[in-house]
This record gives sequence, C-alpha cells and structure tokens, in this order.
Amino acid sequence: MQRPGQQRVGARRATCVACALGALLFSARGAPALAADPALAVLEGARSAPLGQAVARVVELLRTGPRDELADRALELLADLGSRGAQGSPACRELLAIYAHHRLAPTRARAYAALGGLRDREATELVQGGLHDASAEVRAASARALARLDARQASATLLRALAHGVPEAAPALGQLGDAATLDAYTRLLGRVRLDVMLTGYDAFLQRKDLADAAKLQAVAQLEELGTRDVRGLFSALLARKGFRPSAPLRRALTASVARLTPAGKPAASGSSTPTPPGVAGKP
Amino acid sequence: MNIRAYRCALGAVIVVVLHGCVGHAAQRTLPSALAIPDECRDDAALVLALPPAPESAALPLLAAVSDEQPSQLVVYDMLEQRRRWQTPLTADSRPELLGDLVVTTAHGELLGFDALSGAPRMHARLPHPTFIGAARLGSRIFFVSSSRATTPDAAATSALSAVDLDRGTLAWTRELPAEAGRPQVASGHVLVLLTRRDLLVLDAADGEKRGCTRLARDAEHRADWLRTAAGAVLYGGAGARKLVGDAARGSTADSQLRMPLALHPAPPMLPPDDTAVPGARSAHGRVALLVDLESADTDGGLRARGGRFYFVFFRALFAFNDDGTALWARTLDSDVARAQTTTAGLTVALESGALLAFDGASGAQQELGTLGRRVASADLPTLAPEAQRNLAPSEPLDAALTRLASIPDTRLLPARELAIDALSALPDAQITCDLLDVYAARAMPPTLQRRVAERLRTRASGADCLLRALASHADFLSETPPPALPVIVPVLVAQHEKARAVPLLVDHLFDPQTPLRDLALLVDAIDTLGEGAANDALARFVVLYHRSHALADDPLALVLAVRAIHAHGTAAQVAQLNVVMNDDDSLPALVAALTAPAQQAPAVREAATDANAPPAAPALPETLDDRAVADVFSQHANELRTCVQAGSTQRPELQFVRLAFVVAHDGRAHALRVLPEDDALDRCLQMKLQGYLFPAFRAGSRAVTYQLVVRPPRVVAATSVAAHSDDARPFWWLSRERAAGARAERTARRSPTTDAKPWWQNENPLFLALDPVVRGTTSPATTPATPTPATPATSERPKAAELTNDDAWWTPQSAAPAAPTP
Repeated sequence: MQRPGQQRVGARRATCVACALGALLFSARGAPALAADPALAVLEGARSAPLGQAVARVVELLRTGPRDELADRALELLADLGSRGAQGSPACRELLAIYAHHRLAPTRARAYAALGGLRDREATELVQGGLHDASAEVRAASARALARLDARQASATLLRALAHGVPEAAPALGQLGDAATLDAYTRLLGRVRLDVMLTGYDAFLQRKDLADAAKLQAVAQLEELGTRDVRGLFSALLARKGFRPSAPLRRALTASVARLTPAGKPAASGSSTPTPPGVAGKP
Repeated sequence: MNIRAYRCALGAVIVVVLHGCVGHAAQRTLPSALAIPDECRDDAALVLALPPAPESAALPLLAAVSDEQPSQLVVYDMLEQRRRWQTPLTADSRPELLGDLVVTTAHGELLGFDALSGAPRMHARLPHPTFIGAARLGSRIFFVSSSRATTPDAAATSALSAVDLDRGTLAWTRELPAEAGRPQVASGHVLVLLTRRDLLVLDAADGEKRGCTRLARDAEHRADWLRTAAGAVLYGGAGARKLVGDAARGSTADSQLRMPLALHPAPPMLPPDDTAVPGARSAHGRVALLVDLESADTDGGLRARGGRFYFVFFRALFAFNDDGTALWARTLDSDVARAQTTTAGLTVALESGALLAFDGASGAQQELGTLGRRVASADLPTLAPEAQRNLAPSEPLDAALTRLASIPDTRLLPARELAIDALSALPDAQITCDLLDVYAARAMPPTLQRRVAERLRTRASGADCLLRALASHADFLSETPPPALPVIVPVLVAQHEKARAVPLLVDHLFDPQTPLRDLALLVDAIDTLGEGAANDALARFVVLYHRSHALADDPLALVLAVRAIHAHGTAAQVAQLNVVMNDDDSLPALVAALTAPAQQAPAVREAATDANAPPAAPALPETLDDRAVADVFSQHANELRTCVQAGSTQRPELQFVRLAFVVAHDGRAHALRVLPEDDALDRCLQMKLQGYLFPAFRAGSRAVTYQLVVRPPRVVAATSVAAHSDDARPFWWLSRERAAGARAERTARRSPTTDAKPWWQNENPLFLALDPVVRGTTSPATTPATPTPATPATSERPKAAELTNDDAWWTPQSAAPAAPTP
C-alpha cells in the first residue's frame, strides 16, 4: 500500500511523463514545421535579435511577399518592436507604405499599427491617409497610430473622421488636440454618440499641456447635457490615481458631480438643457 | 299667341335655319360607292402632270384639345397671344387647322368650326369609325375614315368623302377596298395613299378615279406617307423620295433624301398617313421627326428646308443639320404636345399649355404665350411667328447635350442616347470631360453608361480630362467613389498616353479600393503603355500578391502581370519571377495558369533596342463565345441534373429550364434569372452557377441565356435556342429566334445535302433528360440534343402578332401585307 507522499510523487511523475510525451509530439509535429518554414524562422529569430537588426530582418521578410498570415505576424512584430523602442527607417517606411495599401484590410490595419508603433514621424502623412480608407478597421488603426505618432497636424482630419463615424478618432483627438480642436470637438456634441465623445473628453481633461480655460468650458458644456455618463466620467476622473488636475478644474468637476444626480438630472435647478438629438448617451 | 307658343315657333325657325346653314351631310343621299380595283396601273405621268393646289392662307392659330375637365376644344391666337374661343367637346381625334376651319371628330361625326369665331360650320357622319385625316381644296373638305381589319382574313376598308363647305353638304363618298392614308390635294384632284403602296388620284369634283400608280415596289421604296408640295409628289418612309420621271417603274433615278440620324428603329421621316391620331394624350406629336421638305434646284432634287431636321422626344428637342451634326438642343419644362416646322424654325406647343418658337439656326427661344390649359393634342400652322428682337439665347450645344444626357428621366432614354451620340461627335477636348460627367451622373442607367464608354473610345482628344479623372481615388471622408476605370483606361490606351497615364495606372493598381475586376485591365494597360519602370511596378505587384489570398479568387491580373514581365521584363525581373514561380506557396491558380508560358524560354527585353523581342502574350478574346458557355455547362451536366431533378419533382410538366445571367469579363457569372420561377430550383442553380468560371474575356460583360432541356426533344420542338447576348432586354430575342428558325429551315430546304450543321445543332440546349429515353435515340446524358427547329414561319416578314416591344410604335401593325410584291 502506498503512502500519501508516494502517491503525490507518482502523480508528479505521471505529469512529467505526460509533459514529455507532449513535448515529443510537439517536436514531431510542430518543431520540424517551424524549422521547415524559413519565413517563420526569421520571425522567431527576429524576436530575440537586437532591435535594429530585428526590424531589418522583418523588413526583408516582408519584401519577399510572404503568405498573408506571415505578413500579418511580421507587421505585428514590427509594432511590438516599436513599442520596445525600435525606430523605423526610410526603407521600412517605404515597405510599410506598400502594405498600408494591401488589398486585405486586416493587413492594412496592421501596417498602420506598425507605423504608429515605430513612431516614425515622417510617416504621419501616410498614416493620415488611412483615415480615408473604406475599411472601418483600417480607419481605426490609422486613428490610433496617429495618436501614437503624436501627429497634432492631423487634428483636422481626425475631426472629419469623427464626424464621419470613426469612433477611434475621439481618443486620438483627446490626446492630440489643442484648445481650438477641443472647441471644434465640442461642436460635434449631438452629432456623434456621447459615449464616443466622452472617450475624447477623458483624454482632453487629463492633458497637462492644455489650458484650464478650455477644459473648464468643456466641463460646463458637458454638465449641461446632464447625463449619467457625464457624471460617471467626472467621478471616474476624480477617483483616478494618476489624475492630477489643477485646483479650479478639480473644483469644477467636484461641483458638477455634486450637481448631477446619479440618475443623470442636475440636483439643483442649474441646467435643464435636454439631451441634444442624436446623442446616444444613456439617460 | 302666348309666350310659350312664340318660343316654340322661334325654336323651330332656328332649327330650320341652322339645318340649312349647317347642313347635316349624313342626311343627304349618298352617291353610290365606287370600288377601286385592286390593281394599280402605271399612271405616273398623270400624277406628275398635276398642277399644284393654290396656296391657302394659314392663320396664326393653335387648335388644341385640352383634357382638363371639362374637356374642351380651344383655339389660341399666337399673334395676339390670347385665347380666341373654346367650346366644351370631348374630341376623338386631334384637331386639324384647314385654313379658316378647324375640324375634329366626336361621336362618329366630323365637326367643323370657324377658326376665328368658333361658330359651327359643318358636320358630317363618318362612313367608317376611325378618322384618318382631312385636307382642304378651296371650299371643299376631303376626309378619310377607315375600318381596321378585325380578323386576319378580313381586309381593312376606308372611305374618302368630300364635303362642300358652302352648302354644308356631302358631295360624294368613295369606298376604298384597303387602308387609306390622309388625303392630299393638287389642283382639282385628291390624292390618297393606299396600303402604303399605291397612289390613287381622284377627281376632286366628282370623286371619279383619274389614275393610280404604284410607289412602293420593293422594301427600299417605302411609302408610309405622301405629301404634295410645290407641284411635287413626295413620299417615303425613313427616307424621302420625290416622284420624278420613271420613278414609278422602280427605277433608281428618283432622288432620295435620307434621314441623317442614327435612330433605331428608324422612325418615318413624316408621320405615317394611315395612322389615326387620337384627341387624347398620346405619343403622336410627342415623339416626332420634323422636316420641311422642299424641292432642290437640281432636277428631281429634294432637300430639307434650311438643311435642318428636328427631333422631338417628349421633353427633349434637337435640331440637326442634314449631315447629322447637332445644331442645338433643349430640355423643355414639359412634354411637347405638338411641334411644327416653319420657315423660321420650329413652333412648339407644350403639354403645359405654353407656346414656344425656336429659331432654326440658333435655337434661340421666343415665348408665344400660354394657352392657360393643359394640352392633350394640338395642331399648329406652318406660319412662322413674328420675329422678336430679344430672343432668349440658346444654351451652348455641349452644355445642352450634357444636361439632356444626364437628366434622370428613364422615359427619355432614346433621346439621351441621341444626346450622347451628338455630344461625342463634337470635336472639342472638353467634350471628353462632359462625357465623363454624363457617365458619373446620378442614376445613370447602365445602358447609357455603356454607350458613353463606347463613344469615349472613339475620341482622340481630351486626355487631360481622362487623366484628371484617373488621378482621383476612392475616399471615405469625401465620399468619392472610385473612378470608372473600365471607361477611362481603354481610351488612354487608345490615345497612347504613356508618360502621364502610367504612374496613375500604377497608383490604382496598388489602391485597395480598385475593384478586383479592374486589376487585369490596369495590368494590361500598364503593360501596353509602360516601359521599364512599369515592369518594376508589375514585378512589385506580383511579389506582393503571389502568395496572398487577396487575389486567389481571381488571379487574372497576376497572370497577366507575370506574362507581361516574361515578355518585356529585364533579365533581373524575369529571374525574380522564376524564383517566385518556383515557390511552393505561390497561388495554385497562378502557377496552373502560367504553366504553359513558364515552360517556354523566358522572353527578355533588355532594352528598347532589343530587336529580338518575343511576341506579346496571347490576348484575351474580345468576348465570350457561345461554345465556351456550352462547354462549361457540359462539364457540369451531372450537377445541373440534380438541380433540375429537384425542380421537376415539383413540376411533372417541366420541359425546360431557361437561365439568363451575366458573365463578367473575369468569367464569373451573376444576376441569374431562372424560368420557370421555382425557389428550390433557383437556389440550387444559383449555388451551382456561382461555382462556375467561364473563360475570361476583354469586353465588359456579357448577358447569356441558356436552356436546359428536361424532357425529350420532341416535346420542345419550338423552343430550342442558342445563347444570345443583349444589353437590356433579356428576352428580346424571342422574335429573332423565330426568324432564325425560319431562316435555317429555308436554308435546309434549299440545300438538303449540305454537310453544314444547322444552327440549332450545338451544345445548347443541354439535354438533362429525366424521363426514360425514347427508343432509338442516343443517350441524352452524353449526347447534345438536336431538337427540332422552330416551326418555320410562312412569311419572311413577322406578322402583326409577332411584333414585340422591340418594334417601335410606328411599325405597321396591320395584318394586311405591308410589303408590296413585285
């Protein structure tokens, strides 16, 4: 009869054997396949290579016109390398420009993500072109990439895109827009869904480089909407740890939260402005 | 005498007086009817010797029937721009101005009113129910009425009657044993066209026959209408002829004026004489070719006055020179109720009641007032209105034609086609831009777009416009659609626009918004126009997509690009391609398509100076031929049988299934319509057809009809068809089919020993027999059926019953033989 300790050891051994068998099976099926696909090997090798070399290897792979799934993985890897600090190059940009016009929309979206990830400022105009794409997926990727590129000159195009139903343009505008952009952004209230608009306000209100006056005006205009979503945004901002607003902005947000009931209507007589038509925020 | 008795007596007196003044011709005893023998002697000399009728003074009046309730007969004075008179009347026929008399019909009577005062001047009972038309010679009115044949065996009959205006009595009536046209007058004589063939001359005084001559001896000499003008006898169909010399003997010596417009089917140059025109709203007057015919200086010559033709099509109005070039065009606010040529140009009465005059040369518009009532039908004088100094200037021709071609009114399709043709005939480079605008106009029907595309291909100028259009790309934010590459690219290729076009073409090749079906077109154009740099672009394209599923469904563009590089690429490019082609991951369809060329020695062009350039890659066929369609169906006969079996279970009587679909140039089929309508059958065939790939071809798309025969061929003897193509009307060919069957039968009868296969012995229809095979026949599953041809028609001409909507309203509908026999 085995003791409990021996049973545990047996179980461990069984697990190990299973693992070993699994590994063997993997090596029999997966590993040889990996080794047999040089393109995939290049990608795997690039992950562990120094950033500069990795980018160059991936670019070379993309230059050969790999299969769609490999191209997608390569583009994702470029974005990943960018987030780890890799820099783009003219050759890389030139190649990504081709993939940014690929016939498959997911591939195009990944190309824009890669351009954003590599933070190649020279590619701003190219990335901005993605907002004109017929695919919503690509437009979204382009908007996010512009935010990563800190492409402030793209604000006007982003505003147009937001008005044309590109929701990802809202947070991008929140990150990039100046006071004039915030003003133009606020004019879209009522034309764009409120939940989308609030993602942009969230970013605007956290910005340190934006003047308080513009933020206070935005807070006042949002409070006039008097919706539960607006109160939720203000409350969340106040509760957020990293959020360090100026004293006037904090006071305005706090007062606004106090005036807005959880149901959304102002507690005081304050504002009775109804929700503008077309605003899709919850009442 | 009391007042009542006095009134009765006065009423009786008025009735008696009226009866005397406005004689009811029908109450007079009719002279005996004279049958005209159905044999026309050659009396051309007599006809040519007829002196012209004296000119009667025309009044500047418009006579109209207004269908606003209550319906009224209205006469409007164009000079004084006021309504002269109106009388409540539901007119059966369009009013006619005969000098100072207005005639129309109502309740089986011809009614005559004084044109200036509206006073009744005559009425006469119509011998036959349909009023054809009237003419006036002095104080005598001649009118023709007819009875249409009600059965194929019966003949139409007509009557020509004469009424004395002075006495208000019927002078005589002559029964005519055929369909007669509206009368024409010469001095002392009345002329009538019989069965659109013979010209009958009667004495105006007593109605005695004075002569007869045959005008239409063959199909070329049509006599749909007849006019007497300035001592000449004019007749014709789509063209006009003047009776001269020995014309009646069928000689070609007589002159002919041909219509310069390419209208299909060609309308008669003047309205057919034997067509009754209703008083109510109809196409008569709204669709018309207008020309004022006159004798030319040369002997026997004939010409259009001022060398101008006008064409009215509802709201569209055109003026053309006699060489067919457009002079001016107008889009009117309302449909035309009637238009009339004058010495100065054209007078038009609109359905809205407005009256307009147009200068023939410039198209400048003059307003002549308004009737104030809606016009259903009208008659206008040939008198030109008094010219005004301040005429509204005519819109520039190109702008007017562009507007007309783009107007979103499907009724105006033929006019819009004419506008496109006229526009494309203009030489300015700007016209190319206009045509592109027309192509992109809102709600432009595909038939018109195809016409624009065809016309653009013929243009040798305007490359700048095309390049501007090519430079635009689809844009989500500005909501710009992709440019019409199938229209633009072939024109640029035809114009050999190399340097400027190729970079733009390359841009579109790499634009993801470019439709997949247009990629092959772009590759072909880049290959044709481009040089070294273009091959680089094609190589880049091949490398980018040779493993991608993006083009897996339609690798034609890749195939063409590879072939182009093999044919014209540098050694390095060809070497690069060979690496690509040896790649295991390359698209199987691409590798399969290129197997044959890849086995050949790679054709390399190192430079333009290379004298040993290999021949170009084999080009795609211009269109899809019937045999290729049949081949594809034959390959899938077993699959199709399963669909048909499902359908025939529900319908034991099912004999055949007819498919109508469109094959795009890349070989994919869509827009399938199945007859008979059956959901299960339709679904099944849709799924099957989507999986079939027909051979690719160059030109646009092709509409195909195909028939699957379910029962043995004897059952479907009269329904065998060949694949046909058509732009807009999928089943237009039914009449052609019958004609083709008859033709084939005649051919077979003429040469029974010929080895040539009759037209019906091809793979269409595909025989998918479900019933047991009749003994003695070959297996239907493997052998294409040879159904019995359509029953041959007894006559070469289609009968009235066979006329389809392919025929125009002016096509003779009579069951009587319209074509003369020699």
